[in-house]
Amino acid sequence: MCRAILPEYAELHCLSALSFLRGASAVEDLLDRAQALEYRALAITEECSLGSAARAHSHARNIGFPLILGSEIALTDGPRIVLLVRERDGYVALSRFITRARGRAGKGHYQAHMADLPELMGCLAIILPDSQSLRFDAADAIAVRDCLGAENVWLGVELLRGGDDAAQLREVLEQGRALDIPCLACGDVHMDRRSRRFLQDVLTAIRLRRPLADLGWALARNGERHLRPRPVLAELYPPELLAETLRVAERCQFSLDSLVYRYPDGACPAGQQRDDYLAELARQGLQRRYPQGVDTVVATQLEAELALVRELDYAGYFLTVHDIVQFAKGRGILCQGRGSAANSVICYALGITEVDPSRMQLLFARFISRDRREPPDIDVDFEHERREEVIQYVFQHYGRDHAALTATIIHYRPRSAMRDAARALGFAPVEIQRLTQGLAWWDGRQICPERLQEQGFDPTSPTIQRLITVVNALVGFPRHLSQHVGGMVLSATPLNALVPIEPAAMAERTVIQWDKDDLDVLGILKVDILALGMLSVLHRALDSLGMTLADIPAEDPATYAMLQCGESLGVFQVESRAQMSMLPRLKPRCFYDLVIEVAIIRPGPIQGDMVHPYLRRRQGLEPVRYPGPEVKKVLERTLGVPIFQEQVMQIAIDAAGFSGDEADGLRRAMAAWRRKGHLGPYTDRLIRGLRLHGYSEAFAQRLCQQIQGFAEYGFPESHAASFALLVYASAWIKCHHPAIFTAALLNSQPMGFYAPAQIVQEAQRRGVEVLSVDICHSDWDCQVQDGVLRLGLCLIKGLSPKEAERLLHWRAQGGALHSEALRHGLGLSAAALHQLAHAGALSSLHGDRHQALWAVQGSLPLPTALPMPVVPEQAPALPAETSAAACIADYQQLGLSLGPHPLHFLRKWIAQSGYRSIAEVRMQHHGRPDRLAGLVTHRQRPGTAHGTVFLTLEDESGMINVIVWPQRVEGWRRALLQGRLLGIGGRLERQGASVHFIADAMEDLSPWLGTLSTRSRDFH
Amino acid sequence: MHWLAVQFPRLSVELRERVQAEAVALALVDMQGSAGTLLQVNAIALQAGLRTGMTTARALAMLPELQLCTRDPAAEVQALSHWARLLYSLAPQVVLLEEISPALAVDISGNTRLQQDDTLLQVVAAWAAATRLSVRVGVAPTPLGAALLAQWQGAGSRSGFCLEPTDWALLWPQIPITLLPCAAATRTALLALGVRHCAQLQALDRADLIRRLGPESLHVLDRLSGRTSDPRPALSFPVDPEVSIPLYSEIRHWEGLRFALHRALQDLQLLLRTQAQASRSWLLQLQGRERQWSSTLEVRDPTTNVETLLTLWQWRLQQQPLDFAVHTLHLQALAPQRWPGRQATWWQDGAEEARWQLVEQLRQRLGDVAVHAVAGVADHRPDYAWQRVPPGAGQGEANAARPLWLLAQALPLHAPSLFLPAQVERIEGGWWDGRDQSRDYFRWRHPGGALCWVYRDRRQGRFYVQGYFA
Repeated sequence: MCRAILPEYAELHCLSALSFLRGASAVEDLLDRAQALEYRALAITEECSLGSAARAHSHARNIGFPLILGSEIALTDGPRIVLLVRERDGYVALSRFITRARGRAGKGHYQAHMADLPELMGCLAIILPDSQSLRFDAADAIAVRDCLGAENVWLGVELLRGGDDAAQLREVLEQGRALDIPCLACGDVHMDRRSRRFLQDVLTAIRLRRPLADLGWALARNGERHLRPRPVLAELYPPELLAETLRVAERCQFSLDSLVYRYPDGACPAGQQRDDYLAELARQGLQRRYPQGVDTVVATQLEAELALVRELDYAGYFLTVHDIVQFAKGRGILCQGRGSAANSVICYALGITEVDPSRMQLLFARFISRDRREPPDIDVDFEHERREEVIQYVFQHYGRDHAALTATIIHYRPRSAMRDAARALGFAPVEIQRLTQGLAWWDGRQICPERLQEQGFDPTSPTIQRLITVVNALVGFPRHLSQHVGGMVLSATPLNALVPIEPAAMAERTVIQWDKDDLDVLGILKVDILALGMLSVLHRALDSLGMTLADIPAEDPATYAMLQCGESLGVFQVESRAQMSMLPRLKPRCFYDLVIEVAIIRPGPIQGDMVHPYLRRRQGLEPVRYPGPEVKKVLERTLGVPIFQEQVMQIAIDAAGFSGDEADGLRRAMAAWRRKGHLGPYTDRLIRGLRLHGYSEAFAQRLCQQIQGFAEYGFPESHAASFALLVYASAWIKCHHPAIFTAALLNSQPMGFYAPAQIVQEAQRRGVEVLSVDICHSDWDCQVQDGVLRLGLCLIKGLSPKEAERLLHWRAQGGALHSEALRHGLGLSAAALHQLAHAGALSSLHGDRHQALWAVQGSLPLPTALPMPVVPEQAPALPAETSAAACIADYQQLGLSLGPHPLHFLRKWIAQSGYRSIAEVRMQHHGRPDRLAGLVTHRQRPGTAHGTVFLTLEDESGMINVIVWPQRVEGWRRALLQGRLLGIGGRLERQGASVHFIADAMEDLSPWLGTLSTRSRDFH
Repeated sequence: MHWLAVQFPRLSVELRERVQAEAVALALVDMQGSAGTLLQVNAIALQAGLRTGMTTARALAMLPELQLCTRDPAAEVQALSHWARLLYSLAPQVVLLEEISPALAVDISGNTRLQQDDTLLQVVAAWAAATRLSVRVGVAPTPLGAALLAQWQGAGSRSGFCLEPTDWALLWPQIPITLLPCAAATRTALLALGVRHCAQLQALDRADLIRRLGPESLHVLDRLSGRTSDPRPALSFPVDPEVSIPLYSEIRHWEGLRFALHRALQDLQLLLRTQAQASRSWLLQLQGRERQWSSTLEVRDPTTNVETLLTLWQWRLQQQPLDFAVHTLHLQALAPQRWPGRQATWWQDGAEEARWQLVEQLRQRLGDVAVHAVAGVADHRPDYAWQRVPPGAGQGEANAARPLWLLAQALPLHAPSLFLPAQVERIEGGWWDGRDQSRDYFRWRHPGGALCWVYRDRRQGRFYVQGYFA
């Protein structure tokens, strides 16, 4: 058909992948395709959602294509309709309408009624046909027309080549005339191209939880629900129906740009300007921070920051965060800001962050930049067990209409994609299990046919080929909407006027429909209220010691000595395998060394090859030279090696003449380097600037290469400094009060790198006496008395805190603690009694577990209502509990044992198989071959390690790190993924105090463990 | 007393093995959601190190090519029934130990000849070889004891034979608790108390134990030891009613057999009606000097109606020539079932009955596979939107107008007057089962007058006739 006479068209009913498990194309692809087909406009109409509005708006603006926003709604008491936003009031009305509909139902559902429609002034409506009959109910259509006005309602004609298109069209046109409602063409679009049909079918199967073969009529008859070329549309529809879409599109002129977001004023006293109040608080805060007098540099920096904040109108944001932090501190909740916000003197003065600007070189441009045009983003860590109090305070203080959590779009990952795809294709449960378990968390996003072959499937078979195709298409595809871990958005105006709000899965939480990455469209500010387990640990420990963080003596030599030996299990940020190896090499001696320690074991410095040069210079093996005074000033504190993002920025400013904003632009270019492959104009600018300031070409080129290493994430110095404060605090407590530290760690589980078993073993190694859980002595939490650690009831698997609380109250009142009294006097449940007995908590009263269980079972009521006489019993002839059985029961119920280590009982067989203890192997010389066996406690495969897998093994004599080189990984894949007890042959590698075992043989000895319950912690 | 028990440790997997094309490692699983445990493993899996109780994840990690299967109750019943009959040949009282499923026991007290190890083992071994099933044998004074000995012996601990009561009194206390057929919760509770063997269980005060765990475990112990009796209902082996009629002279044609067949049916009718029984399945055997011929007739409902059966047999027999001289006719009603008869109504409408009689007659005349009904299947693809079903099965569903006559195989169509109209029914789908289609369907009037249902294959561009409306 000649282009000149092709009818114009605007598609007004289209769902993207953010109508989860319905749309099969990304909103960007839909807009691109509509533009390519030369549509006049495209309406994105997700089901009861405006979740894609922000990204659709951004993309449409970028490509210069007209976008219409709307939503598809299925009324509970009426037809399905598409609502299109005509103007700003219409958008607000629609957003509120969706909020109300979502709020009536649980997560993922909605209830919209006909009675809600009159509030939708500013919207247009297209009534959709019944999905079965493809016709319209007259009464429903009239009701919608009467609600919204005849000039705002159309009948949507969907001709999808169902075989009776002509009859359908004829009847619909007649109906339209009879009802006096005009008709228009629409396509019920679910995908940008017909080739996405297979994915749309799969999504239908997943949504309906049935295999494709069983879906029958529930599947679409064909692939017509895509953006069709205009010649095709011209064949199907009469021209007037196509033209009507343009009349509708012309009336829809709303853009998200017309919305105005305003941040709340914060807790600002009446009659005072926000900026003035902020300045007042900040100056007062600095006075408190520096009672001896404020350093001139710091004071000057503060005024500069206040001026920029005033210019960019961010005062309200700082006041809000200050208000939240003050609430937490008022409740005794430990908290601390992290990230780039720690570059701010304002944040320090307000008590949001704890990085002292007089001790660190801060770079405010890293936090806020005039040119960046991005709102500030302050992340605050709170004690993880009390974070919910803070979140609920924000909801209560600002109101549910003005505060909500941001959303996160959850995308398919390989394992979940394999599971859903296999179910959709009709694989049996046993086959699905085999398919998924063959995938390792390090395998990457695309499915390798070899993986499936290892599991016994033929990758060349058509069935498996289809499975692989479907899985690879699903990986990375949106699955559902979830809540962000802690990002909250606040608004001075009602939030639901900007974006719909819906209930989250967790009670008492609501979430906006936009992902955190979409907030920038309106400049919505986000406060991250994060949870940090270590803050809970510190709070508990400091409470026990009657101290505050400020009371901890600074720069304690014993603390650094402990860290230099690598004894950092449980210490914040430095307890990982890699950190434990680094500590004896870096040998931190002061606070700033900890800042470096935290930042250096990161992909950025590793990829940029900064680690070894730094260590060599620190150990005096390499001279430290600086190409110029400006560089020396910036890099002197890291021995001439750039480790932090801010250092690169500072060099650009000081040695290449960049402004602060330009330097921040360079930082962002560094972050985008991996995606783009270059630093853009900054490379030449940097080299030119350095040359102008007298630096050599060679130095400039080398610096650019090092910068590329920061493409992988490197820590901001301020962030590392924030964390280093907690590293030092936790290390000091561990060093000087190991029992209290251990108790605090155990009471704050789950968190950290290590399981309770390793934490307790470490405490015992440091000389802490640990007593078992005992109903006569234990509290809910682990407690320390006179330096002795008593394990708490909280460690007993399955024991309800409520029952434990009742028990403790009973005990405090002097209640008897034998089973009869607990059962009949206190009314403790049978389950709780069994849990206590199984955990060995009744041993001090009844003897071993067997006796305790016998006593518990004897206290339970008989299954009869008749009053039974109390019969005196003799002592039962039960066999004594063996220590091996006790160990198994301990691990099952408590996750740890105070008795012999599990491998103590297997030592004979381990030795007979030629394996030695870890302690014996650790004493070997460098390079000597040996064999050892141990329980797997950790598995790691860092992205920077090029496929190397790191294991941590443990036996009764200690722990050791095992390295499996990439060429070995595939051959030992099953043992690496599944093994709980491994026998390893290899050789010891020693670098000073740091020891590794390089594996060249591996045997899975897990069957020897029998019923022993162990788990490893696996990290990417 | 002496009981011989036969236990089948790998019954399910070995029954599955029979239908496998090649020898593979096989395991029976009990799936709970996405996790499962191995219940039985075949010899190949056992050799590879797999064990019962292992999780499927672990097993598959050890042996990725392991095939997993679930139970086939019908096959198990058939196998056990066969073995029950074999044991019945040893002694009349054969019992099923449901709690040790699968295990059968037979009371061999009265058969002194069999109470010698070699004879018993040889006999059972021969049966095991013939049925290709692994078995374990135990002999003890109690049926439960014999079955547990068979199980325990299979775990490699000791011989499964205990013939003397005094020896039994010393042996049964050593049986592990894990083998006792009690509720899993009771077993778990006993193990948690450290009780590992029956002796330790017996050492506990009875009243105290009953107060805690109920009497179940002690009742099992009493039956195991022989302290209390363990009466069990014996399996019965009913004989199917049958009648044999020797013919006065040899007959070489079907018509000549009619009278004898009529009489045999009458005799069986009488026999069955006295017991209020009828049968759906009838076996006819014709015995000649040189050979024998047999055939089984299946009908939809149980019946004893002579005329109906005679007519059906007639239709069946007329399909093939009788090529030998018959001297004896033998008729048997297989698997008779209870049948109280049918109450005729006053205004009995025999249309339904007549319809079924016609169906039965057609099946006998043309063969079972030739007579079927058609039902709709929920599938957009016309080729797969229908299926053959037994007569009387449901009609299924259809979602659009379709021709009455749908060709089994679409016919290529070449016609100069043929073109694709603007309005078509587009059907696309089936990529998931390897039968993907993309077609445009429409109606087309053939120059000869037939109204055809035609489609154009969108990938090939060719036209085909799928069916005819008229």
